[in-house]
Amino acid sequence: MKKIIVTLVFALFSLASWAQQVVPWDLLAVPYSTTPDGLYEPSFPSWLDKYKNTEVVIQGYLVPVDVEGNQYALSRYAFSSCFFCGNAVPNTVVELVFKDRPDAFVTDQFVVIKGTLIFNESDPFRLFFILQNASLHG
Amino acid sequence: MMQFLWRFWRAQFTRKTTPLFIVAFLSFLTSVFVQIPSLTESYIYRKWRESAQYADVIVGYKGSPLQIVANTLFRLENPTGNLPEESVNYWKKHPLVKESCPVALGDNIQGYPIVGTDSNYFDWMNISLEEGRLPSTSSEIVVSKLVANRLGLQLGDDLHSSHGSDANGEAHDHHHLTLVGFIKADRAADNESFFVPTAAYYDMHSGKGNGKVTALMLRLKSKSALVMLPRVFETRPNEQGAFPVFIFAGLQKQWAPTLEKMRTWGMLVPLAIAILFVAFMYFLARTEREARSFLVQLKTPRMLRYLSLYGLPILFALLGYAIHLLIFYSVDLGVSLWQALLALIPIALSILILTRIRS
Repeated sequence: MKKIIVTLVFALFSLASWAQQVVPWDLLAVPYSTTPDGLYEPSFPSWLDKYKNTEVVIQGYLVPVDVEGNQYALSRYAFSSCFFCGNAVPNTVVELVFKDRPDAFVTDQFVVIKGTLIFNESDPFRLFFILQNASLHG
Repeated sequence: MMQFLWRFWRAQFTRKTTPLFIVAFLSFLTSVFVQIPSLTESYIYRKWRESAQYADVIVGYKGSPLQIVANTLFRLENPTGNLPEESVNYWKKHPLVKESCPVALGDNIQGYPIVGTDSNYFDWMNISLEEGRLPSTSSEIVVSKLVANRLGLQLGDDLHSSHGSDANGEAHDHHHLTLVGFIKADRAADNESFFVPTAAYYDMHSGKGNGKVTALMLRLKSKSALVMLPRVFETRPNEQGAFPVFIFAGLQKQWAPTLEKMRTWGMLVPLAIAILFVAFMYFLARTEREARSFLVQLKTPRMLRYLSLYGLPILFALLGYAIHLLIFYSVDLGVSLWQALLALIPIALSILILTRIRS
């Protein structure tokens, strides 16, 4: 009996870890180059392929990019230390496209976001990674 | 019937002048206190939230971002310095930039700042032409009718600017500006400024500082570009990027807990006053018991009886409410419809309660 319970608990845990993959920021820190006219060009290493277009969970700090439209980006570093201390590089921020228009968040709120991870290989005006269908997780 | 009502009310008014004014005052207080949390919020945020709508980034000479935004958009504080022509061209051509709009400041006419800019400014800031035309050459200038009236200016008038942001600076007598149009702006800061094409600034200073501007406002191709730009600014030694959205975000972060508390606790005060108001209305109505039974014996219709007994206190309550609306609109504090309706609830509640009173 005990054995069965233990197996069941393990099975549950493994199921939970199967359902979503928490992607650490280190993985998202992809190399990038700067084009002569000042745009960024990321390159996506092959070990990232398994995350492409899959549902992932990312933790980070919310940074608003539009006051009226409720648009946000998710940042590896807190806002105050993120943008004006020099730590911030384009690969420490992920663009969020929320499934439902979110209520107003507070800047620097630490959140766990679930969404489909899109690799942006073509549009230089958007960030390297876009989290489509994003929603608050947990 | 009207005459009956009128006489009844007049008698009631002479008997109960003070209580009636207390009713008006209480209803006034309720509606004002309902608005206070959001008033505080808009007082703190309004300018910065507004500024974030007009431009995504404002590029100025190295200095405080707050100062750059305050100076460029609201003409408060002093400019951080001038942007060299090279910087202006760099940012105008930057691939992340969709549109740009220069702002040159530093001169004034009788204390009203002169803004050197281009047609984008009128577009972005919702400035419309009321009379005449917009300035197109370096010797043309426009201003709002408001300032024109204050200074007694007419279309075709010859104007001279003086240097510095107060009126006693050295006058540029050599450069003439002709008033060619009257404008009407959304923002108070624009209604209190003169506008010239950027080129006029160079002519006023005899070509000194050609190509320089005080700040350059940018609109980006995407909102995401906003988080890519700080990195770019790090490589530009003489320029400071001011991001109104981030300034707003910082402010919001700082104030959010306080405002949150205010929103919950701030409702208690109007609630207490509202209860007091309803109780007072009830008390006032109860003092009319004898008059009521008299009217019942007279067999006056229900509606008339109700109106003559309680109409006056309700009118005074609405008067207090109306005064609050009037004050808020005349000082342009911005009343939200939702809150205005919220403030009507105690009045509606007391009307409901008064209909339920039996002998």
